[in-house]
Amino acid sequence: MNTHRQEGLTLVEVLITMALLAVLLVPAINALQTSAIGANVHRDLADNHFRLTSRMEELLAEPYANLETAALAAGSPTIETSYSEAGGTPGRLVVYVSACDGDNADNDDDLFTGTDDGILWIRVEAENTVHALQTVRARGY
Amino acid sequence: MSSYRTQSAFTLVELLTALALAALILAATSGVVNNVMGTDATVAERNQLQRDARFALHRIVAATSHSRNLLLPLPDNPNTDWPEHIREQTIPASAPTGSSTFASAVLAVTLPEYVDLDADGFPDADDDRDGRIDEDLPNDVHHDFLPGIMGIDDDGDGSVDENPSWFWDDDEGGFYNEDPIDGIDNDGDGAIDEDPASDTNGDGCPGICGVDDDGNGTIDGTSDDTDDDEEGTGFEDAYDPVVFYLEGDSLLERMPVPWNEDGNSSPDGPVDGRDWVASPIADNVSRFRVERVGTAGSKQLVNIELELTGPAGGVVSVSTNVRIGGAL
Repeated sequence: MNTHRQEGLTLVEVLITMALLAVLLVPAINALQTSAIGANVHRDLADNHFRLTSRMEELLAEPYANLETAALAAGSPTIETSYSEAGGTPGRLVVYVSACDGDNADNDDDLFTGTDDGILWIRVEAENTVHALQTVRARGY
Repeated sequence: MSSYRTQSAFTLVELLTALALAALILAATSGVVNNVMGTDATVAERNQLQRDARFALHRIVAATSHSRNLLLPLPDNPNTDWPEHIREQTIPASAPTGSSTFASAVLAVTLPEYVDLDADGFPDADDDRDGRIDEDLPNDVHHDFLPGIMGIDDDGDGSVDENPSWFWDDDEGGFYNEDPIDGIDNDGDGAIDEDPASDTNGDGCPGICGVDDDGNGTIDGTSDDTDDDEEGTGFEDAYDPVVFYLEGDSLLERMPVPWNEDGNSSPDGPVDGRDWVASPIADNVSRFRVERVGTAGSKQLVNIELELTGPAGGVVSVSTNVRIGGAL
């Protein structure tokens, strides 16, 4: 006689199964989260791209003398100029302008020592982000 | 040999209970699933709109930053009660300003030098293939035999190509030969060097009076004051406008082409300012705004704003500033 007994799962088995599921779900949910964050990062990057290029275009259209004045007033490439947006502006853009060493005549590869007349370094960055644009502008251009 | 096997199936009560529980769980989660699916559709639409808007903006920026001249919007004319320098259009249409009868948005720049659609090795903007762009303009600077730019409301008064026989009127302002190219607003309408005569600097001499313009050793060598570079030929090169404007809810890019697109010829040849093709670069446009921005001493800037609204209600806006010729 072949007696076949069928029983339900024990509590221990159920708990182990749940624990396994929980462990396996963590990376799956993390992947979803990364994807969601990635989408936001991409959107921010794209939005910031237009905001940064737009602001840079404005600065490149400015009379050169005005930028020079702003650079002198700031006095350092690490001090923001009056071209920056007002504090508290969401996604605030900060602008740095400085005289710069265009020809590296002093051979020290430092952009801000041995600066040349007629050339300015301009940087626009979205505050507290890694998004930034920088360029140099020569007088007359 | 006998086999005895105990197998207990689900009872009807157990099945019904399970079904009821499943129904409850499904009811609770269906809202979430619907939300997720709805969000997915919204996000997909928004992504598509973003792509479309950015594509269109990149087309506009590419043309504008590689062009030498901003044709439209015109500078603001202090003698009218609407702003010529801001052209804004919404779908559905919003009320025009002042005595303008229709608010339309348009951006027009001269054709960038890099465009060579017929691949003949010359820029399409170099109409006479002499190596120079937009020199020695005709009286009708767009060479389209209509006032302003053909089919476009240049001055934002709500009328298109009004007074069609006045095709020397390059800005639809109701006058022609208003302002010679000398860096001054001669007629006080807010615009500098718009609507020049055939003698573009208005000095009554070929080229510049008293100057050997082309370096051939002869000063003011001919009697033809329409010959602006003293080369011996008057009217060499017209402005070839690249125009961005709305048709319905589509944003069109209109490109001049170096072949006889419309089948019409003029005494000057088969190709003129009436030969162009227009292509949609964005659909679902709900707002297009172009502003000529510039203060004294600044380089000429244009602010462009584009808003797209999808069928499911997603809205995307993009905007940027761009310098005329900033990429040259």
